[in-house]
Parts: sequence; structure tokens; C-alpha cells
Amino acid sequence: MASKTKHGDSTRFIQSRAMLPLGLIIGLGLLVLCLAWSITLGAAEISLSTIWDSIFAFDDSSFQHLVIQTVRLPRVVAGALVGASLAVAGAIMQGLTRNPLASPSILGVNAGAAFAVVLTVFILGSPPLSVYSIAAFIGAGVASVLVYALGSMGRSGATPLKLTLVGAVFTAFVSSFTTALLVTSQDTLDQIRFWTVGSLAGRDWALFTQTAPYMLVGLIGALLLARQITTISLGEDIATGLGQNTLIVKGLAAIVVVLLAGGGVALAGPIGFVGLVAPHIVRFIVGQDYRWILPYCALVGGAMVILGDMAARIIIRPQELPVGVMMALIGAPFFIYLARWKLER
Amino acid sequence: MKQTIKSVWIICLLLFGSLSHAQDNMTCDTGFQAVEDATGSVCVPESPLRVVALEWTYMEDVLALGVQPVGVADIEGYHNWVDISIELGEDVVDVGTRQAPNLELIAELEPDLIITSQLRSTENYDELAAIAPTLMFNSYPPEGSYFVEMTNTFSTIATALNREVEGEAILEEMYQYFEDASTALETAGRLGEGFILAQGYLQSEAAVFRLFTDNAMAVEILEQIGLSNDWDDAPQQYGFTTIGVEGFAEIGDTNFFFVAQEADRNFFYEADLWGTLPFVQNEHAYWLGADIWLFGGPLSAKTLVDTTLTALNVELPQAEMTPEATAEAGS
Repeated sequence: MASKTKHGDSTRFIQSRAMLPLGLIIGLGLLVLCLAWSITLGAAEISLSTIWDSIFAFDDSSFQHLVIQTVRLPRVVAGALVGASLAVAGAIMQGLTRNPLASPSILGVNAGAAFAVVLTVFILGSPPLSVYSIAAFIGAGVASVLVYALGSMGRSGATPLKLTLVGAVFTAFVSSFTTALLVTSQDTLDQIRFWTVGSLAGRDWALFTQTAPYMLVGLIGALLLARQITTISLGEDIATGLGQNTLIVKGLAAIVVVLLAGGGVALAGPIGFVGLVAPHIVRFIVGQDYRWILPYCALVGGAMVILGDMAARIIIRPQELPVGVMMALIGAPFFIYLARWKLER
Repeated sequence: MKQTIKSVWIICLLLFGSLSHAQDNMTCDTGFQAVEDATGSVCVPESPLRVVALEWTYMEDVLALGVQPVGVADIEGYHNWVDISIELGEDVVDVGTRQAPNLELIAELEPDLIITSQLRSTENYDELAAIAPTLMFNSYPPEGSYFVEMTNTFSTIATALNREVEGEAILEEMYQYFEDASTALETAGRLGEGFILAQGYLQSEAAVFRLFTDNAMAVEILEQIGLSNDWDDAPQQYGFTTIGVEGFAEIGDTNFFFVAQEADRNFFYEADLWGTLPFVQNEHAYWLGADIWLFGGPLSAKTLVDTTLTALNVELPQAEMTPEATAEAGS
């Protein structure tokens, strides 16, 4: 039954196992290129040599150096980390639930985290930045549990279609509360946009250093669980048969997802579709082994968000679109494609 | 309940009333006069006593003319952004936000005149007009000067409130104040100096600045006193270009006048980037304050000129009777 939702390893783009580490290194190189390219874009014209100097010979009295260090660099680094986190979270969710449509945005985890952050800010005024992540984790955790519990009700259990529907309903429900809170508070429309779509505009090191450790722990945890996730993705019966305690693995993986998605939302708002699209691209390249899927996902997810953000900054220059809108433009057709061809009835 | 029935009754009456004098030839009933606004012409009572003002500029205009409105929009925002010499009365009712005021609350106030802006009331104009005769003005006319629009609208409101003499006096005083300011700048040898006028704020924790273009009313005011706008972007509909931090790359040394809430100003001051800007290094950055309203009426205009002179450390020639004092005496 599961085999129809997956490609066999023979269909993967990289055929030889020996090539997989090399691909990872090339991917890393491409990601760094994306980072560098993104840093060169901005309203102020700054030459490549000045950018180089601003990183390796930083002069804190230079306007241009400070623009690179305090505006552009945090933005791309945040984009890469958020993209990596959401993509890895999506891959884990797809593996655990054996659901090709699973991802933090589709299953309502992002929406739950965003609502929790907005609610916290609404109640506390302007809380310390560390509170953002904690609120986001609670929101992401509660959302995951609720959606999974509701989706598992009924005879056939948590089928992909039911989980997806529950996720969509939960997202719509919670997002309307988020919007309501934002509309009734004194905040500007731009803040509403930030917490309903997700954006990298104005991210600085202060919030980054508060959220990055959680996401890094999440990424490392994901890699450590990769072998077990591969086993579960083959089917829970097989995993149990191989002597795996699936409950513990699922619990740990859920914590990792909450750290990754919650951290990502706390830093950049609910950026959708990265977690859905990146794992599918990666599976096409490397096949079904999560020990390779997860690191590749981190690279592809990071690159997707950075490229999306660049497009969002260029398209209606000098105005900016939130990167979440760009992601939706790419992600929504992909979602339809998956729902049409990959989802079993 | 009784109140509600009463409001509904009033709405019906007024609806009927407004329908009956919405004719083209604008012969108003006795006790009413025709006043020109952005919608054409409206019949308003000859001496309105209960005025609701839904835009801060018109609140300010009404107060300047010595009338306390019965209802206004967003009092908190008004106090944050607008500073004129006349205080808003304590019993003035807050009817909600400027773009989506509470219509029932307005109806309950039983106003005989509502003043609002086209920018915010295009959607609810009909509902407002059903409550009371409603004057709607456009601060951003497609043609002509925004400053001239401001003075014309002020005069129109003065006419509608039956206070034309007071209105003229206030405008006279404003022009006189501009002239005095110009003389003072000349004496100080600073006539013709360049400036950039900005409004700064935080947008999802990032600094954003509106830099005012030549067609902005506030820029016109500062040019009238003899300063020269250094921000040479093309004229914008609302009179400003919005830039992020990177936009400052284009700005050299100039007198940088900016308006911002205090918390936001502190945020700018703490940023390392701030210290690298040419006008900051040359000590030409001037925080005018939080409540200098750059889109206001004659009194806000005087406040702007006043704080600008103070920032440049230029004193007005004769200090015995400041316009502020006159305004206070008038109220």
C-alpha cells in the first residue's frame, strides 16, 4: 500500500551511493553561492570587495559595512536556517505519518506557533525576545497534538487525507484568531502581514541568537534519528518487527519537529510550503533513506527560502513582498500536483 | 433599548432629510447653507453645535476655530501624533478608529455636522451622510498644492461653523508666523539651507523612514520659511517616499529633521548604523518630537515651524506675543 506513494530507490536521480556525499558537498557550495548572491542585493549599492571587507575586515564606522553586517547578513542567515528547519521538519512529518502532504504548514503546526506568539505579544505587550520561541514551541506542540488526535479519530485512523483536512481546518480556525488579535490591537498592517504570511524583512541578530540554538538542536536531533525514521517510513509493522520502539522514536521526532517549526516561526513567521516541497525534491534526488534525505533537505530548504526572498525583493522593487507569499506561489501548484497524483484515496 | 429605538428613529429621519436635499441645484432649506467639499456641495446647518470630526486634521481645525467637537476618532493616536496649543475637551467621545468608526455611537451623539476625509471614508460616506450632513475633504488632490488644499479646507470648515472671521485671523497669523520665521532664518544667516524631513517608525522591528517629497504639505511649509528640500525623489501621492535603512546610502549631509515616537527614536539612536550617517556625524540630525503632525492644519503647521526653528537654534525676532499665546487667549 505504501509502495505506491513512494519512488523505489532505482528511480532516484543520484544512482551511486558513493556519489551521495559528493552531492551534499556540491549542494552546500550552491547554498553558499545563494547566500552570497542574496547579500549583494539591496537598495544601497555596495561593491563585492566592500562586502568581502565587511565580513573579513569589519570596520564599525563604515555605513556600508554595517548595512551588510546588521541588515543583509542576518537576513540571509536567518532565511537559510528557517528554510532548513522547515524542510527537515516537513521531511520528518512525511516519514512518520507516511503522508506525502505532511508539512508544518499543511498540518497546522506553523499556524499554531504563529497564533501562540501573537497571543503572547498581545497579552504581555513587548515581551523579552526569548519568550517568542517558548510561545512558538507551545503553540507548535499543542497544534501537532490536536491535529494528530483529531485526524486519528474514526475507523481508518490517521489517513493522509484526514490529517490534511484536519490540518487545513485547524489552520483556518487558528489563523482567524491570529488575524482578529492583530486587527483589534493597535499594530500596523505590516505586522499583521508578518504573522499571517511570514517574512524575513528586518530580522536582526538579537532574535536570531534567541531562536537559532533551538533550531540547531532540532537539526542535530533530526540527523541522529534519521535511521529510525527511515525504518518507520517503511511501515510501523516493519519497524516493530525490527525491534524498534516506535513510540519513543515518534515522541522524540515530534519534539524535533516542534523545535524546528516553532523556532522557524518565532524567527520569520509562518512561511508555508517549504516543508512540503523540499522533501519531495530531495527524495527525487536521493531516494528513500532519511540519513541522506534530512541533510539534503536542510540545503534545499535553505536555498528555497533564500531564493524566494530574493525574488520577493526584486519583483516589485523598491517595495518588497513577504517571502511567505513567494513560497505560496511556488508551493500551492505543487500541493495540487501532490494531492492529484500522489495521494492515495 | 429606548436609546436604540431613538437612534433608529433619528437615522430614519436624517436619511429622509438627506435624501430630500441631495438635489443638484443645492437650494438648501432655511437654516441650512451650501458648503463645497470633495463630493460637490452639501447643505449643512448654518450654526452647527454638535460636530463629529473623524480625521485628526479636521479635529485640529475645529478646535482651532474654538469649537469642541462632541465626537472624534482615535483620541489616543491623536495625542500621540498631534500637538497643538488647544486641548481636546475631556468629555469628547472617542468614536473608534478613523477608517472604521462606530456608526451607532456617532448616531447616538446626534451630531448636526460630520467632517471626514476622502482617504478613509469613501466606503462609509453614505452611512455617515445618513446620520448627519457630512463634509468630506481630500488632502491629496490630483492637481494643485496640498498646502493650498489645507488652507482652503480650513476656510471651508470655518464657513461651515459660522466662524469665518476667526478662521481668517488664524490663517493670517500663520502666514505672519512663516514670515517672522523666514526673517529669523535670514538674520541667523541660514536662509536657503537644505533639509530632509522624515517620519521614522518601526515595521516588524526594522527601521523605516518616510522622506517627504517636494509636493508634501509639510515640505511646502518649510520651503515657505526659506529652507530647501534636499530629498529630490519624484512627487508621491501622499507626499513621501518610504525607505529602509539601506536607502540612507543616498543621503549626504543635510539638516535631517525627523518625527518619531520616543521609543522608536531610541531604537534608531542605539543602532550602530545611525552613528555612521553623514548628517548624524556632523550633528545635523534633529528629532522634532513625537507629536509634530506633518499632515495637520494651520496650528500643526505653526508647531512644525516652531520646532524646526528651535532645532536650528534660531530665535524668532519678537517674543512678546507668540502665536501660541494668541491662540490660547482666543480659546
